[in-house]
Amino acid sequence: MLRIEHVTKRYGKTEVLKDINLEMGPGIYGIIAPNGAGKTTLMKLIATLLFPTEGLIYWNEQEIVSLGADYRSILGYMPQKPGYYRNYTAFDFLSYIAVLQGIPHETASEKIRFLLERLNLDPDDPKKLKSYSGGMLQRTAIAQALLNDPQLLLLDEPTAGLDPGERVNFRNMLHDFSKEKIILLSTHIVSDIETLADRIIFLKDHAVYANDTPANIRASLNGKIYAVPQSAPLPDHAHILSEQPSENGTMLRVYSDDPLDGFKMLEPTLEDVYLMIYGAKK
Amino acid sequence: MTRQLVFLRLKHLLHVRIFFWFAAGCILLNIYIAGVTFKNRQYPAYTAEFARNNGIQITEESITAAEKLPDSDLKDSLIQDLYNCEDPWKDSTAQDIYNGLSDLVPLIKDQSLMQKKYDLLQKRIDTLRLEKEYQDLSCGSVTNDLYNSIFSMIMRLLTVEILMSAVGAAVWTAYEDQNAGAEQSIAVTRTGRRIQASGYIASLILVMGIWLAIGGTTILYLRRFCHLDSFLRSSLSSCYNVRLSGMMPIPFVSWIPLTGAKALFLHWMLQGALAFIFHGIAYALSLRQSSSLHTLMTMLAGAVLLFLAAYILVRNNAFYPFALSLWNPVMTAYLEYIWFTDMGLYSVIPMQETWISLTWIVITVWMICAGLKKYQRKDLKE
Repeated sequence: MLRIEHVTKRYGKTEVLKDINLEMGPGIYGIIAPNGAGKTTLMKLIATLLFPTEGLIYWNEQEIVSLGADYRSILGYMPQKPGYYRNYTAFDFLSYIAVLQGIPHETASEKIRFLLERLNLDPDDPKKLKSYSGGMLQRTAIAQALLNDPQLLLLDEPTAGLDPGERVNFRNMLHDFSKEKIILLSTHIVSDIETLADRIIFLKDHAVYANDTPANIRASLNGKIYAVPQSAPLPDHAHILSEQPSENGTMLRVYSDDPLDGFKMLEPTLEDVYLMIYGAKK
Repeated sequence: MTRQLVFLRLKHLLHVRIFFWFAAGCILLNIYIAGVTFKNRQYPAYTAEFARNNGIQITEESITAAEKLPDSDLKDSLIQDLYNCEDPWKDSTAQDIYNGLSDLVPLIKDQSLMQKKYDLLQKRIDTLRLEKEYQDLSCGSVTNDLYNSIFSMIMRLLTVEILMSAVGAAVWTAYEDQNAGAEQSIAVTRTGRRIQASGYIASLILVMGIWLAIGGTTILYLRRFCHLDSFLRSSLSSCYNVRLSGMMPIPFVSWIPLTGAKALFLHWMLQGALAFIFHGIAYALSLRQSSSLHTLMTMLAGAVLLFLAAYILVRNNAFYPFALSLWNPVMTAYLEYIWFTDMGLYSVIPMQETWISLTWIVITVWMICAGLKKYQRKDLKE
């Protein structure tokens, strides 16, 4: 169980996160927010890369900093910009991480092979990491985060740089892995977590804006999303969420608190919620 | 931290070829300079040959033996040197050195600490005279010239080279993960925040390896190929080794009996201690600073400020602050050419350079421990 209690992070006078309170049990959690909203800072605080200015974070009721290595041994973290040693092969790099994780050599080799194969990378590839593509590096970083079979897995923008096929593979892998574990996944790409996350946390103005199941979050917009032709006049209170070309010309996806008679009502999506929270055109 | 981790970090370092190229370049440079300076000088080889057959210490028999040598310009010089050998302390004392220096530098005049130092020096001079160390032939009239070439040029160059590799290896290792962009992936592992301890040990091993290689090769070359046998076997307090201190000629006197070889060895050891200190300071600073450039500039600025402080204090006759301003590894390294001597105005106690080094070894260990502790709670933003 991970508990974040009144956590605030400041750099000088700049407040990056303010009074964050969260409680997480096993499951997949998605943090959604635009760039610069504090997602990465929150992830780093949980990963003990940063330390809160105020407040504390607990793992199974024990403060994570005081747990030290014991906490980090149950932690898997994939940074937003994963780095690597240019002259290492993927296998060498993961072997090094395995040593740092205190994983015995024999177990580590087996685990590394399994993970690399699962992520469509060749464990015997003699190529150095410096010659890897962005997607391959991203997959190596995912393998690194999963190496110690973590109980708490933090993934910061894990799908950036992956092609659609790799994304699907990644989601399946994450789903298989998620049993009895806490997975926290930060992204600004809504579709990444719409089908995957058990709960979604929206950050706005450096604080938690919403924290609920995807169904409940979507339900908050039930009956308020409409398909409206571009040529149709719109009331002042309506918000345009997106535009889509169709056989009958461009159709607008519109949010309105009041019913829009004569227009087709649509099922709300997480993207609608995202656009409503972070700004849609009036 | 495991031995395996230190080994892995060392493996990372050994892949950085620039350290090898630097060490190899230093060795070549030192050998070249030593070769150019000593190889074609005939007199040291001539005195070495003479000392081998007739002993290092000059006696009445030495002159007789010298006169039997085949005629040559070298023989003439040798006989002249042998006749010129006399006790340099016959008419002077440590007090005279102090008085002479005080006239040149009013800062040290009537300072009890200085007075005490020169009282102790007189005891050493008395022993030196009793042991007749001043009667060692060394290389006769070129002894002081050789001393300066070895200790003011080659050994100083060696110090610079060793300290540069110490700082370079420390900074490279401390920022290795950050520069690779892997710092965060590393920091969240079980060993995570303790990774820098293994980095410190690994880079220290490398630095000590470089120190052994550069220093060992240079000193070995001086001993084996530069015909310096007589100089190396003789006491540095030979009557021919008169150094200038503030334009005042002072017979060489060290706090402990030093032959050329022993002095070379002790200089090398102290260079090793300074390498440990500079490496440790650079590493400890790296654990606090955000980038390698910051660390290097901080060290450079610190060194410049130390010189500036010493200069201002001596100009303002602030004796105690000046004496204190010398208690740092930078000034110690700078004063290499007078290590183990009275050091004139640059020391207040015997063997000050050694005491400063020991003090800073303790400070460095403390700085490293504090730095490693700080790193455990440092925000790793990027």
